Amino acid sequence: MDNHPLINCIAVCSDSGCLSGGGEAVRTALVAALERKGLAQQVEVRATGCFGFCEQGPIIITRPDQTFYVRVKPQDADAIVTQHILGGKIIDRLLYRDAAGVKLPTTEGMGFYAKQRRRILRRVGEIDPEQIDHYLATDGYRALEKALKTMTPESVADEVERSGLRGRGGAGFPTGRKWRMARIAPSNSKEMAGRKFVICNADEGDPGAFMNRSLLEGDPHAVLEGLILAGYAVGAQQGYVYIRAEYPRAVRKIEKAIRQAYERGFLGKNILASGFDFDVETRLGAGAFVCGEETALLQSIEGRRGNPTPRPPFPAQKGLWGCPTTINNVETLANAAPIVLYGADWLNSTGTETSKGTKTFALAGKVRNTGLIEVPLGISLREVIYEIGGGIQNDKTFKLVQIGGPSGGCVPAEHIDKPLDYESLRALGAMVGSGGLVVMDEDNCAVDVAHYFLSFIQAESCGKCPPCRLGTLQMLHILDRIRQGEGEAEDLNRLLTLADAIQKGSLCGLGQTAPNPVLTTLRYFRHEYEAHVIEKRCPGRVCKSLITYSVQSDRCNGCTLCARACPAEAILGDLKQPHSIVIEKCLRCGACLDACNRDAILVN
Amino acid sequence: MPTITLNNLSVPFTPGSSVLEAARQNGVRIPTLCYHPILKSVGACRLCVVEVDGLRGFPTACTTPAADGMVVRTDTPALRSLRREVLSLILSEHPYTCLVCDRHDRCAEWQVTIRKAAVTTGCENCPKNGQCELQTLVDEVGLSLMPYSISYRGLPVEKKDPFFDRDYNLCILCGRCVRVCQDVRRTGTLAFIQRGSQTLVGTAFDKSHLEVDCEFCGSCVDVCPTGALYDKRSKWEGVPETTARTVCPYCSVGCELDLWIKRGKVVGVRPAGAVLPTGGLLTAPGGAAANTDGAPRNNGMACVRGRFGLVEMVHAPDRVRHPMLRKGGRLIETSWEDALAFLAEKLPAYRGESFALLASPHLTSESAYALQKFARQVMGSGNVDSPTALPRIPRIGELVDRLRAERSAPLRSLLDARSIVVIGANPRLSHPVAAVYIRQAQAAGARLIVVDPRRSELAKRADVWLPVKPGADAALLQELRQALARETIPGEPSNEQHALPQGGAPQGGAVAQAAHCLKTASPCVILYGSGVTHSLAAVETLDAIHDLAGDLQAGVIPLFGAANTLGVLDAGAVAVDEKQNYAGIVQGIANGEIKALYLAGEMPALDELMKLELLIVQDHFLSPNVAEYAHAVLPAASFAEVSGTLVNFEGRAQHFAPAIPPVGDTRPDWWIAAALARALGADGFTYSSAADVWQELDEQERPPVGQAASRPPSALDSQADYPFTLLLERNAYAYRSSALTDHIKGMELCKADEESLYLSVEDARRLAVAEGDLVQATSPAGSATFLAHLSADLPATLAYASINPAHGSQLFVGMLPGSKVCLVKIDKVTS
Ligand SMILES: Cc1cc2nc3c(=O)[nH]c(=O)nc-3n(C[C@H](O)[C@H](O)[C@H](O)COP(=O)(O)O)c2cc1C
Ligand code: SF4
Ligand code: SF4
Ligand code: SF4
Ligand code: SF4
Ligand code: FES
Repeated sequence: MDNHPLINCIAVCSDSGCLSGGGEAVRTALVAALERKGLAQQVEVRATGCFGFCEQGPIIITRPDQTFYVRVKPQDADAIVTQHILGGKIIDRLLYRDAAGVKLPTTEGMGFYAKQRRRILRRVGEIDPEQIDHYLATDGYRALEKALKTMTPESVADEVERSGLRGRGGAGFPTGRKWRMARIAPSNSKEMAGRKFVICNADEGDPGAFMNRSLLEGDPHAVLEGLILAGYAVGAQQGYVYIRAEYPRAVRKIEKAIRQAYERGFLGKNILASGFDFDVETRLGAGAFVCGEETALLQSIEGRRGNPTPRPPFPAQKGLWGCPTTINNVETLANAAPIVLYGADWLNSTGTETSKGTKTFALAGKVRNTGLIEVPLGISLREVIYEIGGGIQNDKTFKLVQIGGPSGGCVPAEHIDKPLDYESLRALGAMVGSGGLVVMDEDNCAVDVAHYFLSFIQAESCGKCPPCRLGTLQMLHILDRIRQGEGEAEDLNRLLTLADAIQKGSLCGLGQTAPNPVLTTLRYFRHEYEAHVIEKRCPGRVCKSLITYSVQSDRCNGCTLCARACPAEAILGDLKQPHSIVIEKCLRCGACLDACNRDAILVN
Repeated sequence: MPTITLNNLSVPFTPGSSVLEAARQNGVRIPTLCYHPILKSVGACRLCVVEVDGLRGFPTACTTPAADGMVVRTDTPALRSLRREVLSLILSEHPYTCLVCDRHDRCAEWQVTIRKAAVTTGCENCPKNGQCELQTLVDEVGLSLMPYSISYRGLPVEKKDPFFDRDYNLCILCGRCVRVCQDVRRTGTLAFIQRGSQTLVGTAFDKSHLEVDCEFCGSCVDVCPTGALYDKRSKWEGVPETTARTVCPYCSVGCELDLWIKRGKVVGVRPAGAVLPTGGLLTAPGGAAANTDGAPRNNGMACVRGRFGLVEMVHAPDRVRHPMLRKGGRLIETSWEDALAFLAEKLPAYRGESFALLASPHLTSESAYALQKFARQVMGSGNVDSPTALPRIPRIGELVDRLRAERSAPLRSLLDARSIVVIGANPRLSHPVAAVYIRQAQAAGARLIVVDPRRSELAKRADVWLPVKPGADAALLQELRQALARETIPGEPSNEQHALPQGGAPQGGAVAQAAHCLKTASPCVILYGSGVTHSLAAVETLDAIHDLAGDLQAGVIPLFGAANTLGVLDAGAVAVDEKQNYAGIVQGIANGEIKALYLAGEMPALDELMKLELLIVQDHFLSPNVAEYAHAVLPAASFAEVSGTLVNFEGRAQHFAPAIPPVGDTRPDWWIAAALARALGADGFTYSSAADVWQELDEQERPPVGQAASRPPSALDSQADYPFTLLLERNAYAYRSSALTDHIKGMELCKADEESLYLSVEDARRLAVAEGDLVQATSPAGSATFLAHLSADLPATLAYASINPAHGSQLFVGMLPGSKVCLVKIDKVTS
């Protein structure tokens, strides 16, 4: 089997993330280098999905020895071929060095990987996602075969329910139960009686989140197989993959996977001679965040503006064109095949009592190691931040982590030992959401963080409900005032009143959760708000109106770097003499801070 | 009946109601803003929040279905405060000072209205003052303080479009206009644009309404709760003193309209059922409400003519207000006494066949009846016709009557239809409200089959388009019947399988596809228009429609152009003999047998008129076609000033009452006919009201129609000299003898197509004509110049032009008014 994933190859991450860092050039350089040595036939350069450690990209892994090379450049290609492939010698300078400076030849022993469980991502980074044979060689479509040949639709839903799988798209609704609801719902719309639909929600619009994209780019058939299983369990004839148009590579890959599945008879009429007919098409989303909300998504597929609609009726009763419809997240669906194939325990055996299995997150912010991670639910935030994330950059102090996308919440350092699962996060005012984890340190301002996320949400509101459209705007006005040092004590209560009206008076999840960033920061960092309002001080030293820049004369050696960097010409001082900043002219842009290499600029 | 507990009281509700409707049925008020009874509720404004046991949070009453045993609270402290909060937020985008001012009741007394401000800054500057739903809501919700900073949008007011202005500074984004345009009218002109706090209502790519093919139906204006959308014409008229229900006199849909009256003038029009009774004074149904059977069939809708057009005509400055007599070559205003005396002296000389009457199908039944009675009984002439109603080609009247008797269907039956066949009609222009019903039926899954020589706009929206050679409709329909006979119903074994078209290439031929559609999708409704009745092959086609409708057990709706075509037939204002019909009358004038002609709302463009010894013109305006030749002009009162009856295309007689006193010295048409009769000493014309006339008409034996001798239709085989067949569409901008475009400014803007001629690309290439060139079309009767447009929707040798019937066209001088086709040659105009 030529294409068996486990033979010799050089795996090059070809996820959109690594590609943007020059991964494509590395791949072509490797191919050319192998050709020059006449090895093109023997060694495959495989474009795989994301290895997760994007921070270190472009990354390549040589197989079967699993050597892990980081920050590879096209110029390194010849060395890799001659030294590593032909000479069998590891190239030291391309190895990853851990915090202690130790070079690690494989992922073994890397803090970033030690606490992870790559189960959903098990093929991502291993196989060539564009080869259906790679997927088939790694148990692909065996779950579908098992389901169609040996299981009833009910028993498929039962197995998923028993596994305890909960939706990975935000709300955490039990997936098996969702399937059963759509299965038993009558389909009696005038035009399309008898029809049911299943939809894969690949709209992933959270800023900074890319887990779903990586999964689709790295293992599209796994998602597709899950969708077909969902279709079988629900009794649907048609599935859609609703995917952002801004994900062109993911779109191409899932569309290719769909074509391949048709060719091999996993889609279409009478799948695997079971009598089950099922079709799948993609539908491109126009990039509005709110289109990920399920009722807005349905509107969008029907060709209307993606505005959420009231529930009831729920999509499971009357969804697409009035027919019962199940909507599941990409990652939820990717869990389905292994559950069906290996049994409910496959999922059950990891996680906590109520939150089973693993979850992917996009780890970002001020941690040392950023990237795509997959962890068992219930892992503590400390493990994520300090072990996988490798701790805070520059040994600063951890302040808070924003979890669950823009309308998630901020969890403060005091709760760092809380487990990462649905219930605990909800109790903290945050949510698992789609899986964004943005870590912040002492240099972040809680008010500013709240403002940042709220302004995203405000701009993405569909505009239908006054509380969401205008309430968030009023909150932003207030936060703006506070940031500018013009806040009043009464403003904090106004924020709470508004938050209450927005939560209660909004139609959809976007509005109902929009105040979360403000509410959680107010809850855990009220003192920071008060510092802004009462003392007119920004403890994070972020809010421009509340900070001053000055030069510490004992540290300044008069190198003039800062004066040259200052766009406002606010820094005075002669060469080799301590400089000073004219406060009236200072724009508080921080250019001097970045320019100074003696840490002489003080922000207060 | 199921029951619901509302605020501790168990009350019944109609199954299928929302919680809001259930509350309203029981007299419990819940504040609303985005709710409108003719629109689907979407839960946008969040004011109707309630508490429901077992439901999380605060569901909106308008979108929550009421269920038996449900426990609902509508007025708790939590709800009251949430509503106040929501309304404050809504008002944070809207000029609110006046709304929350505790002295707003007394403001009008003190403040001088200054309306020079470019945008609205307070209620006194708003066209909706006194009718605005925000004004009532503020009191209902109990808002007296505005805790939030204002985020006024500061947008320029959109004034480019005809008929209405848009001030989106006042818009509260309830989405009613968007919903009515998209879901009810199904025109899709309006949409939400942008997101977040930038969200606005607008058109695609922010174009003007003219550019995006808005129909100017006005529905969006009608449902808007604020002053954001407002009629240009009545913008500053304020709250009407009273309203009067009437019937639109333009087309045969017969929409019910509410005229808004102030100081004895019509200041506005709203389609019946469109305006919420919560706004301002409009709670009571109009003053002189008409008796109508059942709900308004237009269901809160109208079209640009009824909604904006006709009313402008009523008080138009150039309206004929006084009788006029020609003296010394000029028409001089005079009194009724003088005019009647003049005619009483002249008319007796023309008793008998030298007198003729042409009556408009826009007349009320009473007027048509009185006029024909005058012609037949007083003048002793059978030369009576209504040529624009139905051309008097043999048997047409009879065939129309037969279809009406056997197959007539109400407009609303379109909504239950599973298939619809449209033959020879362009309802979007001619019968916009019927076109809306067709679109609604399509949206609900009905199949549409369109028979038309050109790929009209409707044909493009159709499931099957059956192109037909002009005049060959009957043969096509017979072919369709044969294909139907071959079709088997689903389930039965069949030799031929026709897959339904999935937007792809026709399979098994368009006729077979249509047959399959019709077989599998019943009930069916057939609509036919002037493309049938005004074609030379009308008789054969009507026969074929009768047969097809019989095969399908289909309902048939005739799309007559004018409002009272059936009424005029019923009143006997049509010829019973071929010699006495329009063609015969024109012949008679030409050869001098007919010397006196009475035109009641008709407008033939005839050079022969100059031969007449006496031409009496009775109308609202003096049409240029006849002004030169008229000897006496009699000012007719308009629909707003008379009572009477119009029989719509469903055959429904709709009576209506006057809304305002006659403008100037105008009189109802029936009154004038009766006065003339009395002036000539005739008995039997002592009517004191239209109702008297109706009573007499109603008792009459229906006069026979269509007994003229049968004659084969004159063939339209193209002749070498005139190689093109020109399809002529009577466009929507004429009423009685006047072109609305001449009297109504906005109409001028939207009549885009009037001087245009569409050519197939192939013909254009052959004639070396490019888009926008001037071309001259010449028929045996005359010639006219048009702007050429290239069209992919026409086959070679077929051309198409839309003609304003009031302006006529040199092409069909002397032909039947409203003729649909003529043979022409086309030349490029050089120089
Ligand atoms: C504003 C908003 C945005 C959302 N975006 C997404 C998204 O991008 N992807 C997703 O899977 N779910 C998203 N959701 C959640 C979906 O509404 C829905 O709950 C989910 O797709 C259900 O799938 P699951 O049960 O597999 O989680 C969003 C919800 C809201 C309120
Ligand atoms: S809550 Fe916000 S996003 Fe959701 S429907 Fe309302 S306005 Fe739109
Ligand atoms: S006038 Fe009619 S067609 Fe035009 S935008 Fe308003 S509702 Fe739509
Ligand atoms: S223009 Fe009027 S009807 Fe349309 S959304 Fe605004 S307020 Fe509502
Ligand atoms: S559709 Fe016909 S009846 Fe209705 S408003 Fe328009 S012209 Fe009048
Ligand atoms: S009336 Fe129910 S939400 Fe507006």
